[in-house]
Amino acid sequence: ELGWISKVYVNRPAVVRHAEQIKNWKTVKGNWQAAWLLKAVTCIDLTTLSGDDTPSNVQRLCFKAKHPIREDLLKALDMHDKGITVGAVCVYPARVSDAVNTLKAAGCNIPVASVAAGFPAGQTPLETKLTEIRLAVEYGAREIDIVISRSLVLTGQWEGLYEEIRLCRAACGEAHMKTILATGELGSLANVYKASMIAMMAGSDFIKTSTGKEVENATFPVGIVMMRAIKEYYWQTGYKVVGFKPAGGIRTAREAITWLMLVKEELGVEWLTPELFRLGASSLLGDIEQQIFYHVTGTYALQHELAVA
Amino acid sequence: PTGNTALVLCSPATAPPLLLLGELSGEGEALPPGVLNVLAGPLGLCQALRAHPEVTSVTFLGAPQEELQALVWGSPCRGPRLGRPRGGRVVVIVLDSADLDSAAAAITATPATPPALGLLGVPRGQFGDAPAGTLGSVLVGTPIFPTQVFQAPLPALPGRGDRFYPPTLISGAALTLRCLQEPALGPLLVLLPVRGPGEAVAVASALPQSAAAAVWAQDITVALDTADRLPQGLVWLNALDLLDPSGGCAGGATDTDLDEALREFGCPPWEQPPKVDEPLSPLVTVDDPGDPELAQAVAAARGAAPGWGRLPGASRARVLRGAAAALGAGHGTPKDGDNGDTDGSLQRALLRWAAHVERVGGAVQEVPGGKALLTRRPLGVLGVAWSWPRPLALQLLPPALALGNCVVVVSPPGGVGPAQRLRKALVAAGLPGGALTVLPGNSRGSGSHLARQHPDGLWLCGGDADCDWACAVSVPRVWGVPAGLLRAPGQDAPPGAERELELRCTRPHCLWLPGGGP
Repeated sequence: ELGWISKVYVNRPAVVRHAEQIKNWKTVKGNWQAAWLLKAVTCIDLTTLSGDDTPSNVQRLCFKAKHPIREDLLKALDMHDKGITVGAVCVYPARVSDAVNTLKAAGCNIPVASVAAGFPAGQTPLETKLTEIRLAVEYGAREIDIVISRSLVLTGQWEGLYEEIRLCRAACGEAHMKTILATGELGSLANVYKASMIAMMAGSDFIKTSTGKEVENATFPVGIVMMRAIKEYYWQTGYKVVGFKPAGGIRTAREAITWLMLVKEELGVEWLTPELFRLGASSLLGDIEQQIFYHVTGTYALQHELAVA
Repeated sequence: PTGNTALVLCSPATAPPLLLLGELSGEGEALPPGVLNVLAGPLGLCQALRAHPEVTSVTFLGAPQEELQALVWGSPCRGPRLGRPRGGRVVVIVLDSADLDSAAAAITATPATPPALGLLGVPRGQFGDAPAGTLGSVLVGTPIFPTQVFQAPLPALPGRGDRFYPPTLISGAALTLRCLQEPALGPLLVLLPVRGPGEAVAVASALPQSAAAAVWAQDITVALDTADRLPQGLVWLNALDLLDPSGGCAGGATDTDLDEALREFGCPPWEQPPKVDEPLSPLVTVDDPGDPELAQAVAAARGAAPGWGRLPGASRARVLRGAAAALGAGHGTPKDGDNGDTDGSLQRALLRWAAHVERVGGAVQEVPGGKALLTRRPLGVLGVAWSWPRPLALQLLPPALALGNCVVVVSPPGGVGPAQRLRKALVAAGLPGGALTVLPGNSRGSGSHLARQHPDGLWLCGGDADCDWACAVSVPRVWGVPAGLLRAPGQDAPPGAERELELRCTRPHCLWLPGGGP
């Protein structure tokens, strides 16, 4: 029931001001920084979503996913036996089987996430969206990142949006569903809040800020609004926790740590696990590895010293 | 910065920081020696301080009422009156179309001065949850009872015990609670439920010591309307603790009254600083206006004040112009020692102030993050106690009336005649009844009598009219009008006099509208 929709108010300048403050927070240093970086690594969804993906580069990605940080660096931090891997590997549906096979051959249990439902624009008919989801699940993806139809949000068809997400949820079956809200295209922060609530009510396990292909991807004001929606949903239902995934535009280790700090402030420590928080990123891992290299050795690595994803 | 030297008297218990300040100010040649002196001693010494011939003005800072009473109650009230308890309390009104999360985030993010109040529109009763660790969100259960207190646990400080006050939230409070009457010890947030914007304004006006207010509502009409009706000098809209462009300190709720009071430490260029205890002139034997008459006059003025004050400047200007025309016309025979307006200076003054009030508006300051609208509002009821031997200088009245105040004047009978003529002219031109009342009265202590009726502002002209501390404590703005401000009829007013009069007739009001990029 959707009576609450008309009572959603989000004050944009106040949220933006709050987000500006975040940039002034002092960041962690030293050993604690290394620890937070490793935590961030375990929450990364290592992603490759380009037109020129082929089995070979997907394979390389999967190996990097299994060993995100160089062994000797981990040994120096005494974390080599803690099973540090990334949270998931994210690819297009056509590459899901390559990824699944590679990971099986490598003997590790990292889930493969597939984007679906007309990624990235979402402007395809509902039947093809559902078929795509079902096929991705068949190929072995354990997580599905679906894209909502922004036109439904922009025209205010909230029941239609709810129905669409519910059907996608049914098509996912056992797989874990992340709903990409594409916040850069939703127009206003109030729309972001409403879309988040609808997505959670329709059964998403995660809400994700963006596809990574928009002009404006994951920014702090949008993240704050979505996290407030998650909080509100949790209070209203009393038990259902939904995860949060900022994606797109996170390239430096410093930003990753700021996101972790923001999640801890807004949602609490319980959300700082791969089950409830993911970072959608591709080049971020390289930067994190650089920072850990610096922490361990005191200098920055040359390009050839760290494995490319 | 105004060039005064200061002697600070404090009790031995509170001395150390002040003594340190005194010492530091002498070091490094920050201030020449002797500019800031700190004396630690019993407060009875302040009698001696007042009696000292070289002391020009005595101010009390932060003195509780009982002490003030014991020391100075009967003596004349001189010098800037900073002794009124000043609280940095901020009133936050959250209406039902507000962005609750942003309001909660802003309240918890304010540093230093605690926002000690939050008023809620009851329809949106659920404010959130109160986990033990953070004050990040707030739970409102049933509106009135029981009163619940949530305190965040403080991290234990090694070996120092409890020196800090934990952030505390009190919900379901009633207005009679002590936590609202007295200054807060530390971060304290009190929640009061209200039923609507009107009630919120009423409750906010009734709270003591509130320096600023914040209104959170997304419905723009409701927000602007509520913000307009609040009496606080600084109002933020959907924001909290933003910089006050009229010169307040960043990051803390400012008290615009303080700015105004500090101006009194300086002296206008046409005036010598007054001495503290001038010898009083002999008593003039005329009957007092009895308290009932004064009360009636003040009540009438108070009734007329909202209407007159809220008229657009052009309407008030029209009344003044009409009065000027009437005065010029009826230039008849002077009667009963009436000086009359022989040179038309009163007429000119009326016309000048009419033109001024038509032009004057507020100022808009744009800063990154929004705009601030700075306006000056009329005080309300202004009492003028006149006791100089000269006849009543009517030049005082046009500014006060033009800027929207209602004036009650008490003056010796010699000056009443021309004032009554002016009044007749004004009423004929459209001034509401009660907006100007002139009463003949005993000059000695007339200030006290007026002050007892609780006007919103009090102008004391002449030493005899002074009121004592006991009465002055209830009046927000007391001004000793300097004799040099009003020259003899025919002379021009000194430069700066107009601005001074304007500032004394009005109080500042700043409305912050955030918007635009940071």
